[in-house]
Amino acid sequence: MGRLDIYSSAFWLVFSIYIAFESYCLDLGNWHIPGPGYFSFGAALLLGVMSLSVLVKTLLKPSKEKPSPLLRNSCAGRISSLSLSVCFSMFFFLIGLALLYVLFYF
Amino acid sequence: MESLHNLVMGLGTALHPVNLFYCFIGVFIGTLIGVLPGIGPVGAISLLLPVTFHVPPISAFIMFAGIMYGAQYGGSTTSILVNIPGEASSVITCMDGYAMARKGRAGPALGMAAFASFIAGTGTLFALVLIAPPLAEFGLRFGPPEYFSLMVCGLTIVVYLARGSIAKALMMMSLGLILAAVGLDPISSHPRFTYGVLALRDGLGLAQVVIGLFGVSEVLITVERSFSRVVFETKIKGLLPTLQDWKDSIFPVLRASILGFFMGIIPGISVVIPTFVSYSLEKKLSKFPEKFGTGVIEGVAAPEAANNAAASGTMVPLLSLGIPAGASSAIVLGALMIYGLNPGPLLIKESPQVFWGVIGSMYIGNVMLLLLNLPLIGIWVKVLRIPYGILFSLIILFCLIGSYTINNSLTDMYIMIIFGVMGYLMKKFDYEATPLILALVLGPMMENALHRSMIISRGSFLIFFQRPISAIFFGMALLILLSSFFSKKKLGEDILKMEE
Repeated sequence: MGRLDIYSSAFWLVFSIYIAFESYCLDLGNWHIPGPGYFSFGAALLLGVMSLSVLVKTLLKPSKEKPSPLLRNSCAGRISSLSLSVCFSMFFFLIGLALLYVLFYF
Repeated sequence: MESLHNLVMGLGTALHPVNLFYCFIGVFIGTLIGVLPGIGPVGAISLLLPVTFHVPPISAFIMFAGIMYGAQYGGSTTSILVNIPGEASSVITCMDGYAMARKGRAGPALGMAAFASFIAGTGTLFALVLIAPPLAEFGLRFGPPEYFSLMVCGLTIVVYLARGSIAKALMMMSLGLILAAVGLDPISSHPRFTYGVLALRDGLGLAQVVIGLFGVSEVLITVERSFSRVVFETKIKGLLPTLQDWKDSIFPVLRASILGFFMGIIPGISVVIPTFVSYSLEKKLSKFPEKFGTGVIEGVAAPEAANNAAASGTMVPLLSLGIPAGASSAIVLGALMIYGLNPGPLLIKESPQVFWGVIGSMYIGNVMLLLLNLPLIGIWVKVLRIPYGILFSLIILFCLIGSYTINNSLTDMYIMIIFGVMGYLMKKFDYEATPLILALVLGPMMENALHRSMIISRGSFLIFFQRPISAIFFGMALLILLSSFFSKKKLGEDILKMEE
């Protein structure tokens, strides 16, 4: 995975720091009576330690494998057409909802 | 004797016309989603979750159980006829099943897959009846520290058995625990990570997250992979296996049933790993191991029996201790809590009709599946011919509607889409979703158990090591984690290699 691991673990590291900070702001409480941020702080700490370990491991031992592309060229069209169809179906779904709302409202 | 009496009561509950109807719907949908690639039992259960809010809990539970074991039956059809497994648990069936079909023996392969599934599905129910009630009785001794350490142990096993790196699985588990904290704090009712969004006050909906992570992302990944389907045009004849087929298969089926059931009980093993282990075991025990992969009936019978037995096995920790063994049982656990039931050791005592009714329905469901699968194989083949373009658009549309109908809220739909994209990226970056889902379901229970344990012990973590049952679970969790650092090879890696 090499390069992809660096990007993803860096992202999770930043995310864990943010969650740890937010949890700290929520109040960690004490050992006797844990506060609202206690549990998420612990989870963020574990996420941070693990992402840091993956990041360091990948940086120290770069993979010899050729990194696979995130999106295969041949399928980019299919993915984008599906995404387009999802957008269309969402659009029609919302139109249908609006119509139903109007029908029931009047 | 009491179990027998309760089982008769359960059969009576399951034979109630409404429950019979939901059992049929469950096994039918289960088979259908097993046949169709792109959506699995996890996605199907989460899609149907909002529909069941107005249904009696027992009927909904019967339907979900039907989907769980029905999908194992259906998955073999695509493996044998198209060489594309409908479910991950049918990957290994492709090897000999498709080879048999190419030799013109698609009928006996499909027939044996159905019979092996039936034998394993019904046989292991006896084991479930024998094991689950005493285990639940034992579970009654558990207090908050024992529950917390049991959940930690369960999550550790799931992480250990993850196919990729353990660090990444631990990261996903942590993310699941963080996501579980979204919403109001159970003790102080203080909003956490809600950012003023009203829909987030009750926490992230399990169904929306699962539909996105498993439904949408699976469709996107399947669309990306290009594969051609060659469905056999000729009429499939002779579904009943010959006497020689039975002689070759009966012992592999029995061995795989026992193996699959006991492996299914262990959290994280799910239904996939037992199929690979049973296939390897039969290959080792066979007088002609070189013939495996060329179309031998044991290569179809053993994995199909193993995946159905494992599906029954996953019910043991779920029904007796309230601990899910995999992603699909995690959603069923979440559903039980939404229905106001108390999953865990008290389920048998407080709602015996639910516990025994589900077990009774599994007998009936297995008979239904046998009757449904053999004559309807022609229909399943026709279903396979639906163009993927139409199929995937429909799945996406159902995902959108399903997530919207949970609370009639567009926010739920957006959450589902966000998790769909996240699930797709997770697959691309090699992160597994199962530890995340399990942590998301167990998170609130773990937090509650931790809070109560800390209050009991007045803030001392030693409570987890002073109580014997809790100490055993924690010891096991530590041992598993430490062993993963010392051993270079993991079971998950072996399975991944075999799958490739």
